[in-house]
Amino acid sequence: MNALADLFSLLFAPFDPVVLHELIVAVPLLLASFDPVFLAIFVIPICRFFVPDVCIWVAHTVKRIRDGTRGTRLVPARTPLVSIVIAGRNEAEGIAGTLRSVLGCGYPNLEIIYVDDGSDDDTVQTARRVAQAAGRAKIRVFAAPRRNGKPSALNIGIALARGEFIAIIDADCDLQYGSIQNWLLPFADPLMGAVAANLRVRNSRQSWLTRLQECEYALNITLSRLWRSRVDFLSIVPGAGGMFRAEILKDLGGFDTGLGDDTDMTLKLRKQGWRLGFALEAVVWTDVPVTSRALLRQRTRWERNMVKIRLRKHGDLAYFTRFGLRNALLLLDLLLVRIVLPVIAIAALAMIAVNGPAETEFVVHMYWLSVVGALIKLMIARDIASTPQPARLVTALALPFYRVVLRTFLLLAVAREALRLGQRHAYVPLHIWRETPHW
Amino acid sequence: MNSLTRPVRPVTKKTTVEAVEFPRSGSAPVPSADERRVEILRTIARSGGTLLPTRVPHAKFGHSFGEIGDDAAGDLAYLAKRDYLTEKFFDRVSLCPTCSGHEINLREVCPSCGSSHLKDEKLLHHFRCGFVAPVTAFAGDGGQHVCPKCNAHLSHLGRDHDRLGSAYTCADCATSFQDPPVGAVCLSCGTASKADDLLHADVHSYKLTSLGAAAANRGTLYEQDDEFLYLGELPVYRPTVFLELIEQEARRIKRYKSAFSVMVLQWGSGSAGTADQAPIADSLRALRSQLREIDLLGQIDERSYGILLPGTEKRGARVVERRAAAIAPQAAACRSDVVVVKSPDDLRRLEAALFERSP
Repeated sequence: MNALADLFSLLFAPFDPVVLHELIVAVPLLLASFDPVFLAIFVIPICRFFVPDVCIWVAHTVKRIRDGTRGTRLVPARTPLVSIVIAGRNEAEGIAGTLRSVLGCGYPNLEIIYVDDGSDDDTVQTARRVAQAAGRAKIRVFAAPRRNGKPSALNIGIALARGEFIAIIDADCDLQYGSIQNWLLPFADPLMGAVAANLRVRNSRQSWLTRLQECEYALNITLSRLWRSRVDFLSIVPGAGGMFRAEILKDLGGFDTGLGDDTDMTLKLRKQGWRLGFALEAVVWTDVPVTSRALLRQRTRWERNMVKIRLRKHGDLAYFTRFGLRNALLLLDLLLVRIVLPVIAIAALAMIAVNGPAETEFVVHMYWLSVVGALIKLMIARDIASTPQPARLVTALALPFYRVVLRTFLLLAVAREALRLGQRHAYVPLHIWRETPHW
Repeated sequence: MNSLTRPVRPVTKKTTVEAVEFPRSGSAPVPSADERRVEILRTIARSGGTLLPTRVPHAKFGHSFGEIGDDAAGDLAYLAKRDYLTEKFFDRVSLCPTCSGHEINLREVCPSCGSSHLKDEKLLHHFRCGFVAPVTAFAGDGGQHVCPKCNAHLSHLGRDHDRLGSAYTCADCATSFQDPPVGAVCLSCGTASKADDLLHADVHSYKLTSLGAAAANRGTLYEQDDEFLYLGELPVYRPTVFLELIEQEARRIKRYKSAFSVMVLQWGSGSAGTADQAPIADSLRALRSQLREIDLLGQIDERSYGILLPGTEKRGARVVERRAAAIAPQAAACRSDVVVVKSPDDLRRLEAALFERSP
């Protein structure tokens, strides 16, 4: 009983008014002292992960109050031809739903090109059936003779596209009604080169892991990309939902083969000086990995993309005299968020584990700070973008654990890629791998 | 229940072409339909018993039957249906859905605007950089292929680049696609239609049957309800009548839960032809004398005959088989097969035995 009581008081110590008072008094002193540990563990993460979200919420709220409604509905001035390019392989189960969702998205001037990347199931036949039912060449299906990888398949679609804008979505996604119109709105800016869609989790109820990912997407995709696009700090237009000016894609010769095709294209656009936007109301629903194994496989690939593409292939973004200060800061931010801060956090936890129970109270304080921060951010995301579902807010309790565990595994993936161990990824077919440069 | 009919080659939904009446001339007396048909039988008999169409561009349906005339399709179909002739598939003709003309121009068209102004371009894919474009975009000096994206030379097909097949581009609306649909335009009336909407008419060759030969000799057609043809003096049910009798028997056993059997006798190809029916007739006469009165003998085709054995199950069928074997010296070239029918599955086997026979 005593042990339980001790545990209880330890876990909820931060909510003790006395403890809270001590913390509130200590913070300004620590700030004034420029204590490096305090800066690294508290100040920088709060400034980087919390302040921007609060700022975007304030801006959003001010706009809402000023407009007097819950956001003004804008429509694009014209309806240019938009080509939806979908590349897929062995998507017999999902392709019909994807094509129908695009057909029913409510945009009048559309062409849909599905490129099959060497499927060995009924994907092509299914797609052709839907195309035939749709009639009048609304959907065109191109079956590549063999698997060449997603970038090459997308490039086939780009070569066949006639539209002024090309939107790329995955073959297992659903396009929400009205998304195309909202996706086009940022292109009123002639300097806008590409716009990312708002990726939402479709299968959030499937497991505890998908519920966590729904929260993660709300924070790291919806909220994060929203404020980043406002300050022209967007670092990715995803391949699962990105719209580009067609002339840009064609001038660049489409996507490069290998890993990280969407990251690569995004950074090429940034180097050319194009702005990148985010369309909150252009919603693309996608399925996230259900099992931890599938999740790790996906995130490991993303981390490898980060090292290969952002650090090696486009590491020259650091030269701010060539590509501007903003792009250099983008690289710095990447290093900070994906490598430096996770290393510090995990190292700190490791040290605490070594030092023993003396630092346990500190860990508990950090945990609750993370939970409160995550809760506030989730409520902000809920208010601005109606995601995640209210029932998911309780997931804030598990988010710190999820992030620490995931980050630990992903740092290993970063280290492996940095040391060039286990180079080839199944995402890239062998005959393509042999010919492409290995960044 | 499967209907036991002669298997018909599947055709598209709008296939029936109505028989064309002969045009009436002012002076000559117009022959009656039967007279016309008998004359056709005589013509076929004079030309050796076989009528083969020839391809003539401006004839009806692009095929001509020589002196019989191009408008005899209806009469020929009539005669085939009544077993005066046997028909064999010769060719299928596509027809305009508007005017039934056979002079059709088929070509690939754009699925978006229907234009036939298409350009076919072969697509190349460069492995190194993923660039995809028509072959013309890769043209370099000296006939080599150079990637316009990364300036690399493409040297080995399959190793550094591959062909993705053709992409058709419509010169009118710029739509690009992989598999162009086929469109048709009638050269007679100008109607444009999809290839799937074209009508179809089958053209057949014909062969005179023994019934047809007899009718040609007699100078009149037999009554429509005449069920028999004659092998010498032996009456044998005509094929269509024999099949109807089998169908009737099948309906009866379904109702009364009993069985029947059919013995199929097939003679070798040396026995084919109207002039060579004597050995068959002798064998059948001998066998008929061994059967009950209620057992029915019918023709399936020139070389195959069947015996319908009502109310006969396995044991009874074996008895008939033994009796048939006993007349084996007279039917040396004959192959027999007995099918006992008690259920719908047996009907399928019977159908196979009746129609899928060895050449």
